[in-house]
Amino acid sequence: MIRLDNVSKKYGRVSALDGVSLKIDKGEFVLLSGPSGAGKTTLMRTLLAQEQPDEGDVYIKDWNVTRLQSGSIPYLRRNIGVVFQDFKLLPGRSALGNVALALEIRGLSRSEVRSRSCHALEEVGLADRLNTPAHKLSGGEQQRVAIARAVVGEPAILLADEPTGNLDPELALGILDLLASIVRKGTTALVATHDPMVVQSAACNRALFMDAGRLVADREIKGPRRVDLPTDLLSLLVGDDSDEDDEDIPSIA
Amino acid sequence: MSRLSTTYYWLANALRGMRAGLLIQLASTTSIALSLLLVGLAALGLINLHRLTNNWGDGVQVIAYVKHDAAGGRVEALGRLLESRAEVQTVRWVSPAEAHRRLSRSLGNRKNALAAVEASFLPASLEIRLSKEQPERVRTLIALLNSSSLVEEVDYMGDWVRRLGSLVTLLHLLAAGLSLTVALACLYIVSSTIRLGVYARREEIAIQKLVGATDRFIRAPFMIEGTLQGVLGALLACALLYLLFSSGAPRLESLLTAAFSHVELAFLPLKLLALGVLAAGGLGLLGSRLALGRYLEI
Repeated sequence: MIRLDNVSKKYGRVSALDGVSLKIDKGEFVLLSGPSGAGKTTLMRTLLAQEQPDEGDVYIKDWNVTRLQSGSIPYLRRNIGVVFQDFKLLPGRSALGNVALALEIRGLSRSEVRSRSCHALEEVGLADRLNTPAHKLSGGEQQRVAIARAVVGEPAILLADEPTGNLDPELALGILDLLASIVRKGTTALVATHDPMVVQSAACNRALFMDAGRLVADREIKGPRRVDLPTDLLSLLVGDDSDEDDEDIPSIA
Repeated sequence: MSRLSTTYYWLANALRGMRAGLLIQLASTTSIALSLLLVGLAALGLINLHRLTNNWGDGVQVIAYVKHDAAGGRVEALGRLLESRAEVQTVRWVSPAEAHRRLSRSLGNRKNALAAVEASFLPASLEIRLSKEQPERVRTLIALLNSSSLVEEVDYMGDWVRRLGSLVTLLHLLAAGLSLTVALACLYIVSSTIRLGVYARREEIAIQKLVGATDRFIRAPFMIEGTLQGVLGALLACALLYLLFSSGAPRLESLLTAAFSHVELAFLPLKLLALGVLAAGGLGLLGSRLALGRYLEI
């Protein structure tokens, strides 16, 4: 479903991705972890064709992302649902309007846009908040709207960049459960996080660890919840979070 | 794909964008309207000047006023002689009574001033329409008429027509220059407004791109917005022009009538107005396209 072959990307002298190769199969729920500046966001941006790698190839389904014409990029992105740390909702729009945005661009009829958006909001537990303006929703509700927007188009892949970064632990667990339920329906998910709590709590089946642009560990996780992190990986996550060399690296949106 | 839904979405988004920046839209539409009003005024002036010169140019160009005591038979013979000349197209005898009627008509509301004047007071005249093929022989004709014992006075309007023709040419050039300047100004106004709109909606555009919107989908509402700005500006300009015309034309008509002869000013034809509105819409479309080409990379 997702494949990276020896992908490298530099911003000036900073190596954001350094020879990253990985493969994620259909239906996997993969955590991408590592400290800030490890290259997680750059990897996400590369998957979304927001960034062109200096070297290597990126494949999503049958698309070679690195060789895509700019006119094809929107059609690639319709196969990928995206969730951001800061939700990226339009404050002037209602919850329904924000979710509908992902379908309006596809030229679906107004009735279909409405019914599918309502259904997606019901799925994330917001059936009673359809017409509430986005800025009046709580942080957890806003993230649920963002997830509904990401999945309403039934994408094959769901990318989430620090989806719990702005939420308290209880809400974060709720969001992780929601993502897991989406994966159970057949979506492939890649969730980037630098939060050890997320790594240890998410019902994922695989965890990738990055540091300084390199993939340093790839752990398969069996059984529900709780990833027992080895000390070296745990220290990687809870260690020095600041990254002075990170200034040149753009954020996902 | 439902094309209707997409079009509805584009239109709704364009109107939403316009409503969100209402003050900017009003300022921009008014600026476009005022700029186009200048072109409209120039066109109005040109059209009426054209009418005036055409009337004079195609009408009678030489009037020979006949002496009161000239015998009818001799005047008739003079008319025939003139008609036989190559530079003359037609000759028409105007009796004092007809001259009185015409003067009365040209005075419009002030025709009562002629009540005390007898019809026979005005001189009879020969109105001569010249042939366009022989302009160089007109001087000879004028000299011939001046030397005739039957003719009191000769009025030659050719000089006036020529001068007005030069003025029309100059106005044409000015109008073309003005139109070009106004077109560039409109492009600038529309593209600046659209740039502001793009800036205000940059977050929405970024999200649209991330969820898979094509450039065409993102551009379309802005292009509709630009086109609407142009069209609304042109419609406002038409309304203002009509107001100016309907309030100023009667006064100008009476001034011109007093100075020349009966003059009726005409408003711009509907076809020309429709063409102007279409052109303004096209300018709006082009302006927005130019703005988007440079500023949509978010």
